[in-house]
Amino acid sequence: MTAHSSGLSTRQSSGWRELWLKEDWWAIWLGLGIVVIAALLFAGGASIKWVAVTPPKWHGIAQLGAHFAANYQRYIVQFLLWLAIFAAAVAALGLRVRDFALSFLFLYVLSLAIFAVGQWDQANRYNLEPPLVALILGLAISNLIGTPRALEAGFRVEFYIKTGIVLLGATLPIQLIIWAGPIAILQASIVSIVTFVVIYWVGVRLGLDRRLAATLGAGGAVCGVSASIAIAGAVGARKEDAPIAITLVIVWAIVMIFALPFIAGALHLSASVGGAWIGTSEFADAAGFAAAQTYGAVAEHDKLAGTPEQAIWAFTLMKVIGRDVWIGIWAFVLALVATTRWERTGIAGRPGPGEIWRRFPKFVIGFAIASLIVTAVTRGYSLGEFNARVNPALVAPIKDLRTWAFIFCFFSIGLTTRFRSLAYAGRRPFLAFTSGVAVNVILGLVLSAVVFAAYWEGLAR
Amino acid sequence: MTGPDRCLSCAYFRNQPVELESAMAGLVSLASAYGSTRADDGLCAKHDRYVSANARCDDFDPAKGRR
Repeated sequence: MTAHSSGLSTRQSSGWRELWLKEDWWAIWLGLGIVVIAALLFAGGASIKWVAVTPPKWHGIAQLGAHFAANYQRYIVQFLLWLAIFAAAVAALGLRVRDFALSFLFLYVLSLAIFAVGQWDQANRYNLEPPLVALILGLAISNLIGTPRALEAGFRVEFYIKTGIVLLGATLPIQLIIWAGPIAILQASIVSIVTFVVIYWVGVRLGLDRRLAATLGAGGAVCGVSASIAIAGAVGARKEDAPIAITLVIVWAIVMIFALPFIAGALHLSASVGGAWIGTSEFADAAGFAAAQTYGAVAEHDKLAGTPEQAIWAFTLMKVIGRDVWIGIWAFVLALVATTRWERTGIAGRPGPGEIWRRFPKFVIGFAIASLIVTAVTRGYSLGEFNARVNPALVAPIKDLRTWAFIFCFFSIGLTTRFRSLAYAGRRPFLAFTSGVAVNVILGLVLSAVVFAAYWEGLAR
Repeated sequence: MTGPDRCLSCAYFRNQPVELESAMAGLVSLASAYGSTRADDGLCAKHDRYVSANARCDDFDPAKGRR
């Protein structure tokens, strides 16, 4: 039953129903579906690369025009495939498919333009990295012009980033996850605990309600807005608390998208160290990927060590493996503390350890399975064979589709962020959250560029 | 904790993702109400709180004949 068809005000989507009522699982179905089809075609001597078309590097408009004239059928087919698979998910989630289709057409056409701008051979010189262009264009449209409500159905930031992360798993060898995972978890744990304690402590000292302080702390320490609403629900926060945290996370996350890559570039950090720092100090996955992808391009342009892909890998290991997967534990522990130690609200939570699985970001499972699949398929190939045969036919096309999913996401961030409609946060929540941001950024830099620098540099090897 | 008198079965409880995305300004910018981390949490119209679907209170009102 859906919100539109049933008129009901509640929906149970946990347990088995989660498999078709949560976008995490749909990101897994779509992402792994693409990876499995790509692997099967590769095994049969074919490839998905025809449909994984992207604008090429170009110098003059005529060159770009010739590419589109020669390949327009491929873009039409790709658009229809994206539309079909996303629409199937959207229908199951209970959103209106017709609204989504119209919205996605708008999103795809402008994403194509953003992608093409980013492929201009002078783009880096003018900082026209696709994430920044997508974000600025989206913010300009939503804040200066506005979009009709019906057109908003396709701006699904989280769905696109989760699908992109599952596809990213296919481009990240499982050995790398196993090798760097423990360091990522250690570094993330240090930063997350310190950041949470700082925000919570400053918040309580400033007189904030403990539940609001915890909601803010989780937003800054774990995974942004998703963590804030998870903790708000787990501790039974006032209904205005989560929107306050959302406002602060969005504002600081957007500032960080622009600030972190350029500070990292000024400090001449290698691509992987910069990516690890961004993974430690950005709050939300979507905003972090925008910053990490931007830094990859900045590092490449400035001829710093590493490759753009290593910035993405380090960010992913740090953010997804190091921070995101622990949200269930944070929720369980804080719910216990709220119930047993904080002032009563008249509502009894009585949390159990099942909370940890219920709130687990399931798309991470898809990310790991995608990595396992491609690692298994590519086993036994020499480096020369991998570069000559496996990469162009299997890995590169998946990476291209991942880039598309990320651009849909980055553009959607801008299109859905309307500063005037955000909740008023107030001075004290701002000060508490900002204290955590300051500590997080500095500590994240020290851990990434000094304490664990050797490990992150090791990604390049 | 589960049971027939938990928040999920209460008339005051609202957890449809569409409603939550509309009620929480900015939620869709960097997250979503359809994600796993939210579980089945929702808004309680009686206590004006955002609560777990498995919570309980003395003001429980069965959902039958929902207002």
